[in-house]
Amino acid sequence: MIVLHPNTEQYNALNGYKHKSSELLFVKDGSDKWIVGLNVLTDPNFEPIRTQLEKLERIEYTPFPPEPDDEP
Amino acid sequence: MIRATVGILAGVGGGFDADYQAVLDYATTQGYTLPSASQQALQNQLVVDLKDAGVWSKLDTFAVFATDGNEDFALIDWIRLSQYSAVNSPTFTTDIGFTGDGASAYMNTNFNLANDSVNYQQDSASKFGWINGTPPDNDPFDGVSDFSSYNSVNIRTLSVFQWRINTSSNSNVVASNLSSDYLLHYYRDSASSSGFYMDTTLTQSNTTASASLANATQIIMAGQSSWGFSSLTISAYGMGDDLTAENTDLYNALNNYLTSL
Repeated sequence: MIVLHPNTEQYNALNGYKHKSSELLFVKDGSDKWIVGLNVLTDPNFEPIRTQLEKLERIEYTPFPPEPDDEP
Repeated sequence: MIRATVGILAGVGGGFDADYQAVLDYATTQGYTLPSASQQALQNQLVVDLKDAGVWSKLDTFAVFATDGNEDFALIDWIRLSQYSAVNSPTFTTDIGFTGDGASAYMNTNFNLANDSVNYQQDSASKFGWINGTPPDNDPFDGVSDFSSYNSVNIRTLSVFQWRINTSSNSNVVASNLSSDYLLHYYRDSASSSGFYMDTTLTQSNTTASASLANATQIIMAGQSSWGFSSLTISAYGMGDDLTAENTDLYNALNNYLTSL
């Protein structure tokens, strides 16, 4: 799965952006990289920042490793 | 039967339940697209049913994502008359709800457990949601906004759950038979007693000790950070006082609404 990865400057500029009920908050993937899914590119509420979102690096998403079972 | 008839006819002649009318009024004030007239009658009936069951007065937060109103309407907290947030663009589908992208999308109730709870208490609490469709493996159902393990639930497979309510110290695994279109309802009825229902079946109970309510907001489709993010589709979500005695009526009210869409 391809996701969007910001550099530090992009992170600082975009993280926490809010419009109506939509909010953009970068999260970490399984490789500890800040990412956000591609859905943000088509969210009408993110139209004002779409040009900036399209400049984010496209990288392959790293899933989290499965956890061992806990006690029942 | 009489109240059911009143609820259905309310959409034709007005006279909605005052609390449902307040939801419509809030949405109108905000400029949101309201549900169709026929769905307004169904939603009014949902509120009537929840009140008849004694559920409504126990809720602190409740949202119905499955609607033919617009996305903003779907994010209204019917109890607090405020908004849930759609973080990182979960996909909204009319009459179904919100679906995560498995990478970063989730919902934030903006309901702070420590600061906003009235009915939802450390040792008397319920949280519930309706899952649409069949969930894929490793799907966080809910958690808190600091992505700690507190109050988090993960559907690892169709037969294995990790769940916690008002605690972060223990994780529990239980065999289940999750297939599709399910009510998940987690409750705590004392400092050392909690459990969860799937639809109307008490699936598991245990004696895990409670902990103080976290100073964090409840989120949906994400849990503790190491779980990642969900691909679940959620049609409704709520939190409040312990609803163990009302579980069957809660299920029936939500099921009646969702199967009428």
